[in-house]
Amino acid sequence: MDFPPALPYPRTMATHLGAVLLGGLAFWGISPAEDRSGANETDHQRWRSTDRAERSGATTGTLLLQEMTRDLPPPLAGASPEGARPTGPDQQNADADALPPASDVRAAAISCLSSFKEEYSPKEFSETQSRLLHWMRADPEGMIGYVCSLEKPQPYGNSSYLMSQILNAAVQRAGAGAALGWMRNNPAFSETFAEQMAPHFGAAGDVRQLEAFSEHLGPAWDNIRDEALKAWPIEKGDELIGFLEESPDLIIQYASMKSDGGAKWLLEVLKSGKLDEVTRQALETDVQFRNLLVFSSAMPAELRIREIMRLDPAQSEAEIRRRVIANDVMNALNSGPDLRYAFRHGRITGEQVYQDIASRLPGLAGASSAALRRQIYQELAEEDPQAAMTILKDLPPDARQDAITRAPLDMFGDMDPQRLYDFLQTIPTDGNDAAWNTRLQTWEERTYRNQERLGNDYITWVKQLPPGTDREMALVGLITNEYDQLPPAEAQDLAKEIRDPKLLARLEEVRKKREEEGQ
Amino acid sequence: MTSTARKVITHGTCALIGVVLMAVAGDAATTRLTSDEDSVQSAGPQGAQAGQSLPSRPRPRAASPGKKGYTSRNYREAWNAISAEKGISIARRVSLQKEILLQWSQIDLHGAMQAALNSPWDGGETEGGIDALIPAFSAAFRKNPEEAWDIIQSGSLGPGSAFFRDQWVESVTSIQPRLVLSRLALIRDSQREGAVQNALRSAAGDDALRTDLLTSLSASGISTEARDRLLYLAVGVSPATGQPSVYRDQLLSAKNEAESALALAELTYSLISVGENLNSATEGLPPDAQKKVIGALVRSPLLATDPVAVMDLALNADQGKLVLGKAAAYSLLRYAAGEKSEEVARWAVSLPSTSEAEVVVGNTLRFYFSNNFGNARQIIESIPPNSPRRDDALGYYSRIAASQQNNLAEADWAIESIKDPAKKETAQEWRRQHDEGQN
Repeated sequence: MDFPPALPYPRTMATHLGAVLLGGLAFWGISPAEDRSGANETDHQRWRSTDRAERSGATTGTLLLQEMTRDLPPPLAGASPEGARPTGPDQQNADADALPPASDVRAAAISCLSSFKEEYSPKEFSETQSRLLHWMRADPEGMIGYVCSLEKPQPYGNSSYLMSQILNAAVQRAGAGAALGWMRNNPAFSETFAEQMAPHFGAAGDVRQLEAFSEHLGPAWDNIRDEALKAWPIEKGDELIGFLEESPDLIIQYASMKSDGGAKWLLEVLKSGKLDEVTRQALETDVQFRNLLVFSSAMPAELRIREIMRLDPAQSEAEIRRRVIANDVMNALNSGPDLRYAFRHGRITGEQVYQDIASRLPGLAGASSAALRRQIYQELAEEDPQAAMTILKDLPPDARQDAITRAPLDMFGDMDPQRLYDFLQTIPTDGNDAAWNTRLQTWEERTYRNQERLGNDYITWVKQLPPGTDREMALVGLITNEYDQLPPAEAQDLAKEIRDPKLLARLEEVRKKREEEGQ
Repeated sequence: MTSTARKVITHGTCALIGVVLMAVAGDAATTRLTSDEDSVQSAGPQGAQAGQSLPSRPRPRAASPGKKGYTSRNYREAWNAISAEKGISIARRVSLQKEILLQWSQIDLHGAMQAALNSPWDGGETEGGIDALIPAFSAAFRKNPEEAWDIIQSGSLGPGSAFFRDQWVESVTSIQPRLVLSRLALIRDSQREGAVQNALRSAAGDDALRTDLLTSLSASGISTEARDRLLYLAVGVSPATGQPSVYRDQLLSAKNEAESALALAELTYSLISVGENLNSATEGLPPDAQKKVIGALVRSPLLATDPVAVMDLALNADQGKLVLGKAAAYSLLRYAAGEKSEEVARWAVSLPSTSEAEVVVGNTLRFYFSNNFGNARQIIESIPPNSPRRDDALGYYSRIAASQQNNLAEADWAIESIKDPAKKETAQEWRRQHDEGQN
């Protein structure tokens, strides 16, 4: 006979207890790694803890959310090409094709217009549109002439929504060349619809047509050019260079309008030897071109970094890398699942965010994983600084500290100033000079936008901060903000509340600088 | 039953017990944290953080249940439950949040506002920031504008009050223009213009409302300069229909500065709309009032419509300082760039030689020549040969020809044509500076 052990079934008990615990955790919907201490929570964080607790009893709220989810319109048709209904000009042309034209297209269109009201039903609108398109197809100049001759501008006159719809559909079918004829024969039409016609001329990708269009417009072309350039296909970008008279500004402007394809195209053009030397040099030294490379996330990051270093040898590689990474991380966070939100609400860990972004930015994750971690940490520190710390855990202590110290300056733009203040409370004020200067620079730089967005409410908030370095630095920010200057008496009153000699010296320095500039 | 199956069942039961235990604890936690939150709210979040008390928020109206009987608590639960939607995109999250805020704000405005403020403040639709959420409050603001205003002004929302105040002005002005203009002094500068314009647009065809709004604006307690600018804007949106004499009388009978400012703005616009000869604008007014009218005309948009008439009126009434001072010279520059540019340039060269006039002449000619170089010689040739203004014009012309047109032959011709030795010396000095700058 076996004797029972002193503690019956210790292993079984332990695993069952573990199951109870796991059940509880499952209920909270968080993994052990994500459970965070409630100590030292700010009010924002306490509010979020409340969220978490309330999730538990949220049956009515969950049902309410489900109801809203059901009621909200599905994502835009563009997201699923199979089921997408044609819209815009294509649909209008298809509608007009489906309606048999009247024997007298002119009379039928005018009859529709005469009963057309400001408030129309979709059916009425569609029929009027189709009848006008029939007329436009048969006798474009007659139809345009009639509409331009109408005195009343609304609801169906020269510059109405109805007319702009019809013209888009008509030019889609007849081509930009035909539109040029309409414009030449009717100055009123040309003046009103040139901007609307411009994308059609751009999309056609025919330099001779574009030249004819710009010549027809004369000085007005300058205001309309961008609309045409935006639509010009990047595959035909080379043909545009001559038309733009090799103007470096316009070439960069065009490349910038073509989102990610533009930078790649421009790099190829520069290497092709097609440009004259002066234009090539002007492009290569233009800061706008380097910025375009920073923003062009579709190109491999290392290639962009290399090119920017070549174009701007004075800039440090680390800084270039930082800008490219910041841009790519921001783009990654703004697309796909809302990682910032999930992180803010404790649904995923910082490490999970890092892994997700790293998988989408493999080039950076390989060559710059430390810099990528730093950037993602700084993004997430805005949401939940403590939870974001895990991203930095494997970094050398100096790099970790630098990421934290610089976070308020590199990030935290446009944030709730209370979040910035709370974050700064985790950084000692007696650090080295560099850290102190970064802190002051942060307050000075944040003041401009905070005052612009929050006005007097920001000033009120600064005044009620507890005494200390950050309050005094925030006051210095208010007093020295040159974009939104305080009345002198108020600035003087605020200056009296500053005790720190280094900050008083800073005020004096700004005062002298202003005095010199004023002379 | 195999031992494995039994283990699965017993472990599963234990896990279920865990769930139930936590559900009970969770309810308790909910109750506790909710009441914690209430205390936070009544102290005001910023006050609590900074250890100072701020005014407590006004109690919302009796929390009436919203759509289908949902309560504020239900909306908060729904708000929190969004985070359980796995892989939700920014766009989808923001759409759901806006829908919740739209309904929630109508039964518990303060609760909904706090939820919005707890979202990130950076960005709009693309980033999913607060700018995308604030417009969802529009319906609630329009439904209960006064309650909304009281909450916004209570201080309980901290610095984020600004987002709601801006939205309140945008949403409420067209339906309650009187209310909005009565709060003008508490609305920030950058929003006042839009508020005044929208308010007056809503008064189209309603003279009583128009008068109320203008009276309210003139007595709003904002700075005199800002008030006058806004008064002209307001009267311009909805011009009065009376004859100038009506407003001249109002000006004479004005009991205070605010009434007088309003009468002046009305008079200016009635002069524009009636097209009355400006010389009669000040007819029958005592010198003090004349001075006021001329001052108002010089600062008014009438200067753009008929600059020369306004300026002559001022000069003839011995109010030369008003048009020849630095501020007016700056306004003239703007008009010198527009349709009336040639008229202003010709007027400037006809001014008598006084030290006050020099700034206007210099600014106007430099600006006109630099934008209309082709016409410049025509202006110069229209000046009588014995007028000292001819030398001034030649001097400015030589400067623009060298520095902007790089037409040195033309510059040298102009310098040679100057008769007054001192003015010639000045022009030669400009020419030397230009050459040095080139080298």
